[in-house]
Amino acid sequence: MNRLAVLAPLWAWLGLFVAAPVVIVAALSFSTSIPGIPPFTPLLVAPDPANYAVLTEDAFYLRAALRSLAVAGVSSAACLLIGYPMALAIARAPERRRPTLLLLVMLPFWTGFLLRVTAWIGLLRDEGWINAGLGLLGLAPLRLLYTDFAMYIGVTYAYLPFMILPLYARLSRRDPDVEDAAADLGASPLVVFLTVTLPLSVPGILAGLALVFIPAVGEYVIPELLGGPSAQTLGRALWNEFFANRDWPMAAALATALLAALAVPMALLRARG
Amino acid sequence: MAQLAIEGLTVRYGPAIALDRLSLAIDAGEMFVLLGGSGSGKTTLLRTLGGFIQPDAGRITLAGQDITRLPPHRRPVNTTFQSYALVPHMSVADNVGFGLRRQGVARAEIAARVRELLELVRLSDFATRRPDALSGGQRQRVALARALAPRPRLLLLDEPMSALDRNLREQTRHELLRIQRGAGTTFVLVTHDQDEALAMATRIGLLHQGRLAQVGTPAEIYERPASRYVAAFMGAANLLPGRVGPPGTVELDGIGPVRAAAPAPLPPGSVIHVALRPERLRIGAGGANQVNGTVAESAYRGGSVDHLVRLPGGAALTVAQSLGEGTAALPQPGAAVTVSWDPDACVLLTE
Amino acid sequence: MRRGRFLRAALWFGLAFLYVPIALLVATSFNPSRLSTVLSGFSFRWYAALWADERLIEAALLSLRIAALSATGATLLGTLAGYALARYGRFRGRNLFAGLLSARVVLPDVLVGLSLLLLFVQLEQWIGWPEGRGALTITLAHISVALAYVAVVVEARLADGGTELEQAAMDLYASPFQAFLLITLPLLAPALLSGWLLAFTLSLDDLVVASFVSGPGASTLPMVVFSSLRLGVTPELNALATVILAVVALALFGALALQRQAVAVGAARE
Repeated sequence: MNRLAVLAPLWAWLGLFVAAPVVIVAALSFSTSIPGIPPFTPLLVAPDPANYAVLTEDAFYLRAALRSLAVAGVSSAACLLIGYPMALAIARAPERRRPTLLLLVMLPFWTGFLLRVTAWIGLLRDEGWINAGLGLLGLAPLRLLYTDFAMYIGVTYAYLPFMILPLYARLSRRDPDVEDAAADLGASPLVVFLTVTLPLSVPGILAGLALVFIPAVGEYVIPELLGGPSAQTLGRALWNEFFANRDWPMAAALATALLAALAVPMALLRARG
Repeated sequence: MAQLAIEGLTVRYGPAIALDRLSLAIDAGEMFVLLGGSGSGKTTLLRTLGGFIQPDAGRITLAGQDITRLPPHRRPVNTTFQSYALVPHMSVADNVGFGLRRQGVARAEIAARVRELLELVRLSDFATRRPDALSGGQRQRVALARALAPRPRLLLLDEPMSALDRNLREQTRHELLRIQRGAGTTFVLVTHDQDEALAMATRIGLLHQGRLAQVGTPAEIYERPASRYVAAFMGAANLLPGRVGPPGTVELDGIGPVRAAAPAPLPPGSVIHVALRPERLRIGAGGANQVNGTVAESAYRGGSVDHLVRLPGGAALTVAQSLGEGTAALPQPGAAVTVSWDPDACVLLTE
Repeated sequence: MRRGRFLRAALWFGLAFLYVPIALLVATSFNPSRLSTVLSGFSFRWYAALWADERLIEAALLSLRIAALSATGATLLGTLAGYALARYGRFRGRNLFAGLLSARVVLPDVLVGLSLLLLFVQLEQWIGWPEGRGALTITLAHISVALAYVAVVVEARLADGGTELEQAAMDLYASPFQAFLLITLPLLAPALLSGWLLAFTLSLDDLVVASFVSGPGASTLPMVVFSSLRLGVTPELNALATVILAVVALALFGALALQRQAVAVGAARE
């Protein structure tokens, strides 16, 4: 097939819908917010890095960034801790069971994530199921909703399938004979895991982290619905700048900073993956 | 008249050279076998002939037409693949007719030709079956029929029998020869199995490290190998170093003078190697050449026994003793024996 | 085996973690009382309310339309992209190509949403298209995101094999384009279907990007659900979640059963 005929429209699309928007965002970050349509000074006419000054000076943004990193970090770790054994269990299961198991893992994802967050609200709120259970046991109710804890659980819950699938993909490709050989040479199951299975699965771990950590840093919905009003993450900050303050250039500055910060882990993960 | 002319063909993979200025002429109607170990370049050569690899240098001419730069779908050359590559969602008949449909042949003609070919490969009853309902041997025949249907000038076969088990291979070999003679097409076949090559080929091209080590009929390659590599590749051979002696003799290291029927290609005193095929050596006295030694071990082969005989000078000879009628008693390991052979069993090799 | 038990336990724990909240949600949807934890009976009351909620139904229909369109667009472009990545070897700019493609998958939604909105605003300023924002811009945005997922699925399937078949077809005088149509596409069919479904789900599920690039009058289902959620969970939403869960579960298990059947038939024929 004529390569040009295939690649040209793809490059055009990628250029227009992936590359160009990034450039425009970066350009907008140097504009100022004004009332009107569109609500910003024309791009690159009088570039003003004032927005970046605000970003670095106002501690609010730093706190938001740290909180985002915490959310992403803790949730990624939780996804890894919960998801790795699950992926390994499925990879070790007999062939005929695997499609069903994978289906069970994926089914929640296919039902839509907003509604699954609903489930957690129902579980965590003051009159929710967990507190009802605690009440039955005669224990005092806990403040669970609108806390950092709720955010961590929510993000973990939403992203868990994205950790399991790449891990499973990698683990299912492994050669079980290598593990058997190690055991034959005297390695206990734990040692086999640490010296054979785990190192070989690292590309899967990296792929899972790429799909969990990086998007989670900018996560908006779950912190908004499950976190307290003071638990500001970068995602919420960006949303609020845009929708609440109607300060598009500020939002763009935040976005550019976030993009720049994420570029490093993205490149690293791509290089190793 | 050479139908396929390959001149100076070179293929490189980065710094590695897969084919090194290879030149070869193949005649019409030949069953030409490209033989070699893995990495020898035989598969690269086949794929270059098929158009799937573009050579870095050289020319390929087919019936006078330069096809070097033609892509596969414009070359009058067809290929059977090692994995058969049958289209899984098409029936046998549709598979066989695939090339004809691409050529725009009339439907009635396609149907007739498909019938003809299915008869040729003896699969007439399988026309409507799907590939996944066929055995390995049957799939191979469909692949062959499919490749022959468009009447190519040249048919390339990539290890056609490597996926078949032993018994099926013999049968398939006969089939292949029968079909080739029936169709009259030039076949170029790649294999790593020298028995197959010897049994099937009109001529063999032995490849080694991207070059042709020797081209010739099976008998020529086996009985008059051009180098130690060829001698060792084609069947077992005892390779003994020595020096050229007075006319008609060679001084073998550790053995002494032996009579050789072939004239020495080098002056007396030069280093030379002598190849002796195990089946040309006999246990027992009575040949023009003989040495004494001890049987170190014996390997039973069914129709023969291979004895490894150690000679006093340190050298060892493998002797194949055929177990036909009227054979002398088998010597046991440890027994002292005499090994003898005729002068014309000595093959003199300069490299 | 000790390892086996630990892993199996971990698997069941994980599945419980995934499903207990959903199970509770389903249970609540049948609870006629507004106090979710007081189970006072079984009722379809909230389902009736759901059916009567016009705004929700309208949003659902819009979302389905957008999802179908964007899934189709994403599948078309994603197939080409996956084919290029799998079959064109190291073509010029391949790394950049793959990088741009995967950027959408990995970047946070807020970044994607904001950047695409700004693109649409600028485009409107420069060339007058797209006029205003709404279903069209949402569809374009969703295609832009989903196409990367489809490309991954297609590339994985093509990398797995099929080159020999394509070469065999070309050997038999099929032009590369004909080989693609007659050989590659049929082989890709399952991957194309799962890619389409994946794109469909992503579109249906997306809140953030749609919120950024949408316009007046174009409210997708997630957008409506989200604004309800901010005011607190209404029992109607539990009913909605259960309905979606039932539909998806039926579809997925149905597909699995069909596939099992096809495999069994194929095996029986051997």
